[in-house]
Amino acid sequence: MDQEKTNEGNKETQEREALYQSMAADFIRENSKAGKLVLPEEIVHALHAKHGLTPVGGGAPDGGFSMILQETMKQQGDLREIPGHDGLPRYYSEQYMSVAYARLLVQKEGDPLVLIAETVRENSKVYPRPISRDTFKNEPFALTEEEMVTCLEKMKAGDQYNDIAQTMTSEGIVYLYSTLHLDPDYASMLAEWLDVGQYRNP
Amino acid sequence: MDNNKEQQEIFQLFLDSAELNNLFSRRQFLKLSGISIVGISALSPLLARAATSPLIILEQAKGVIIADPTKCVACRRCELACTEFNDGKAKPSMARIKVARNMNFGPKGAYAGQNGEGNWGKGLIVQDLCKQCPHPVPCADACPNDAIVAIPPINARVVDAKKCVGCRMCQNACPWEMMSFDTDTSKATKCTLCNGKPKCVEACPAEALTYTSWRDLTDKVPVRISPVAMIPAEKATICYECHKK
Amino acid sequence: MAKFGGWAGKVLRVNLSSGRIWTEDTVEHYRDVLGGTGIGYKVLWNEVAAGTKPFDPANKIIFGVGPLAGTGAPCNGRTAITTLFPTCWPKPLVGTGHMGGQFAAELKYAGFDAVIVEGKADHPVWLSIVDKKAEIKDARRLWGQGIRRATIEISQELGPDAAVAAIGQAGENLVPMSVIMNSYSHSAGGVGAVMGSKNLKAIGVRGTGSVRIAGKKEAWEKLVKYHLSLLGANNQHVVPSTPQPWAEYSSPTRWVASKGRKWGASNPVIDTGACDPHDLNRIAYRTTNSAYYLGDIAWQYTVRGNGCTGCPIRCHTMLKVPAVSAKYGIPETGMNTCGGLNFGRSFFKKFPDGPRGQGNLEACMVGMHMADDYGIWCNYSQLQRDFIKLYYDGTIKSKIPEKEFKSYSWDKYERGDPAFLFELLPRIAMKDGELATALGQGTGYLLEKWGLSEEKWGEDKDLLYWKMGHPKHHSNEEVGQCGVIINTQYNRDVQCHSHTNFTRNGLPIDVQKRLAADIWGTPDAVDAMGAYTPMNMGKAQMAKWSLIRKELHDSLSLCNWMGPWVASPLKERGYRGDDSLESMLYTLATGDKKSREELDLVGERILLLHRALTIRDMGTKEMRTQHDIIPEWVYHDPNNKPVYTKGTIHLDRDDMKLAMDMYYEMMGWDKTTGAPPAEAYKKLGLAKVGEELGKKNLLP
Repeated sequence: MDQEKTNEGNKETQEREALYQSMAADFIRENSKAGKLVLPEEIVHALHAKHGLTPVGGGAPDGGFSMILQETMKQQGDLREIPGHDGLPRYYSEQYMSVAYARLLVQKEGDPLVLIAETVRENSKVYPRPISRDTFKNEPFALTEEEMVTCLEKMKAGDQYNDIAQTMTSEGIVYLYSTLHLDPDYASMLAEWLDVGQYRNP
Repeated sequence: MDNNKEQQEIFQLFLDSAELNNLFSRRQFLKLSGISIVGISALSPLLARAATSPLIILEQAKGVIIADPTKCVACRRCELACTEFNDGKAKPSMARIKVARNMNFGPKGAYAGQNGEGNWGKGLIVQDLCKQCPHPVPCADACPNDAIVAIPPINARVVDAKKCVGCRMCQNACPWEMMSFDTDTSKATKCTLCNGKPKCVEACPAEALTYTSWRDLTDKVPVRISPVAMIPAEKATICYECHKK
Repeated sequence: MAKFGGWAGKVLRVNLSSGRIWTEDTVEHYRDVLGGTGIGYKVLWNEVAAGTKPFDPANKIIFGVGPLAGTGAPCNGRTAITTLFPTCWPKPLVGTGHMGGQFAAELKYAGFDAVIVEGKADHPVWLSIVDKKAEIKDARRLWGQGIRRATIEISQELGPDAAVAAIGQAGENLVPMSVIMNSYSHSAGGVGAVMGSKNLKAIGVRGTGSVRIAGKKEAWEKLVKYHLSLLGANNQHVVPSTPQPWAEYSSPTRWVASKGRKWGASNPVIDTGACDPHDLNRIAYRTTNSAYYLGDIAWQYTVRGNGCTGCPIRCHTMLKVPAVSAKYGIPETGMNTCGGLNFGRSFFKKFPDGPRGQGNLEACMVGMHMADDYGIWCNYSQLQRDFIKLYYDGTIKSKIPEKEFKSYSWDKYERGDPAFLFELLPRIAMKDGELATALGQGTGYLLEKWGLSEEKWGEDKDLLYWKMGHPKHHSNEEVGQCGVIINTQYNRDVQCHSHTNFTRNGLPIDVQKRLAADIWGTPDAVDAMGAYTPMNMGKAQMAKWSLIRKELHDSLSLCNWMGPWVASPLKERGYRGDDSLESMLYTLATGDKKSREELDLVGERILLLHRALTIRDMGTKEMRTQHDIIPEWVYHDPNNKPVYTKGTIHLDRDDMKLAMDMYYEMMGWDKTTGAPPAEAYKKLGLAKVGEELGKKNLLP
């Protein structure tokens, strides 16, 4: 009799765990679709608040939650972990969010200066192309004008960032590039093309 | 016998087995209040089918397509999906969702000039859709051959091509001009909801169409024409079974 | 039942001199050239003698569509209008204008694959085509009115879903810089005056018929969905222009959708949102060309996307700007895809509030409204570029009578006041005054008339002038030698986007090179823009492919502003598209089984016909030196940077010679003359064409 009860109890626990896993996974996926990384505590909060779920128990201090999360990550093939700016994990679904975007979001958590510099360098290297200064004021960067000015000033001052350079197009738009990957002539030509040329050659 | 109470019970039976929304307007109540007991016994389970009498009441449809004109981008992929994927040919003139006729000038047509809706007016594209009418179903009622039937499980009103003789009475009966006619086969055709997975909804690149649970749109969408078809005489007598005072 | 699907089955022929109307069997006469430009070139070759002029009644104008027009194949709403091109200088030659809208589909439903008009009516007429029946009708009441009025009046007669292709006063007055417009705002450049010379005001089409799909409907559905899954945004840009959660890359492309960017004049407002490429129900939101061209100011004025029949891309943006109605008395809505949206910036040197402000937006609305109603052609904005130069360097002032010069409010022009356009544009359409008349001739004839040097015109890189009276269209400024080769091959500005759709798709150069290896045999077929390397066979291969696909698209009715679809936004495919989409669609729609290679041969045949026509009508086989011209600016860098270094787009003369050599070799043409030999014609089933050219000593 007792064995049955235990079996049943186990079964119930398993089902509950499976439910929590799928809810956690869905929560991560929804957030990824919306362009957000997810913190562990946000998942817990969501499971409690949205679904009124009680902890699994088993005597663990966090109510067994971290185990659920680990299992979820293992079982669901699309979920990924990425260390945040504070070194602690963030979660996203590869199905809805790219690694590149996740990295961008992590950079956003930290110093905007690094965000700008790394983005500029990557664009200068990969495409290659300079990137307009205004890009950083739009989503997902959403920096203010003050932040932009401060960061660009700081970059000029330090050694680490003196590869970050500027060029202005004939229509007065400023583009940023990294001299590590683009030389000034090339960068200014590309900037002119992106800002003016493309539209004159529809 | 408390006639009123009995009538209310009957109405509830009617509603339950028809799986209608519980929203039940007074107007509908009053309409149904002429139902006689004799008629009701022949109604269950809602298909008035004595051995030789014609079909008159159709099962309620389970779903309906709703269009959002403010999102329609006038691409007509819905019309193309409807005919290409169902009939194997691109024939928007027989599409069972109708956009082209409202596309340039709006529902008021070419006489609206630049002052109507549509691409050359104020911009709104109105998509016309079959409402999968509740009883009385104008197209089904007008058909002298009972060729328009409700096909379970979705219960969309569907033309049975084997029975259709191409008389076009249904076309003249639909107040929204939603009946199509395939000139290649000389048969009427209409929206079947594609067995619950409407191809037009799937094809729309602007999320302007939604397939959802049925609700009565017949009093929400302005009619396009005054219908000129009449219910054939042999069918009309059946109506009296429920509707006589 | 017809043996093949796809084609409607009949080509409509109309002789406006005699009033005779008859039909031809499409498959019997034209299957070997498919449709569209194929039919156009074939008819001109067989029926219009060399030396015929564009406005002669003997000239023919061919409205051609293809077997895919009117189907659910994505991006098929195109009509190719082929004729002797009036702006082609110094000698009119074969050219094609292309228009979108509803005309192509409606023509198919009416039962026709093409309409071929010849002769000249003795009074203004319009052609009515309703379900296989054609009638020539009196258009005297429509003549002298704008395109919009003609469209509405004919729609009142044929029905609100009729498609009307019409000319405005510009075409009526035989202004070479004129268009044929269908569905209100979809124009075909350069061909309006030919229609006008025939006294043909409009063609109104209404069709309730069908296009049969030969293949099983389940297979067709599958193929269509497959094609949809590979689509990008306008111009097949496959990378979003701002970082999106789902995207690995971002580049300033036409995929401008993003959360927070809204179609602000929609009622209520619609957020374009993060358009995940797997979400096929949101394809229409990816592109908003109004914002792309007019700047962020345009979002609030954008109603929605619009465009051709059956295309999910909706590149033809609808704008609603209430201010222009109050200020200028024009309708508050307007639509366009690109050239029209440049109308402001390209006409005016500057605006008080900058190049992407309210002034530019209003100028664009005013310009579009008038150009699209009068039916004026901008020649890829060459009209505007010429105008700016001619004004600011004092030429206009020196060439036209003082009284006429004073009749223009030049202060408004210099200030960037859109009201200036009310003075200029109607006069171009009405040939009112020397300036307007000269501008309406097209660049080549304008230069000749005013004694200006074409060579000098070709030295100024800002004018974008190429040759024969027309500008470049995606040449070395973005696709190096491949772009230059492509630009040498036509008699008007090249309407070829195969190559630039790929190079501008937003993918990093490494990814493009990886894809290029698959498509054209080597990663070296593409260079990063402005980092060009010496010529190689891969680039010649890419040029050949681009041109063949352009002709194929123009003959099948597929949009060359979208296809080919060799890249896709799907990371799981390595961003690969499918180079066989055209042949798969063709095979399934028509039932005429053709592999990619086989269909490309048909495209090559069509391209070769164009070459033959050009050679015949120029009366020379010296194509390399007389026709395949490259302007000087291609070889010069304003900062004298060395060639093939990063940061310059100019090319090396010897290397370009090699490039042309390689291209001719790839095509099987003679390198010295650039003319195809008899074998080239034979190989593509055009032996008779080769023979006729041989008789005239036009073979190498």
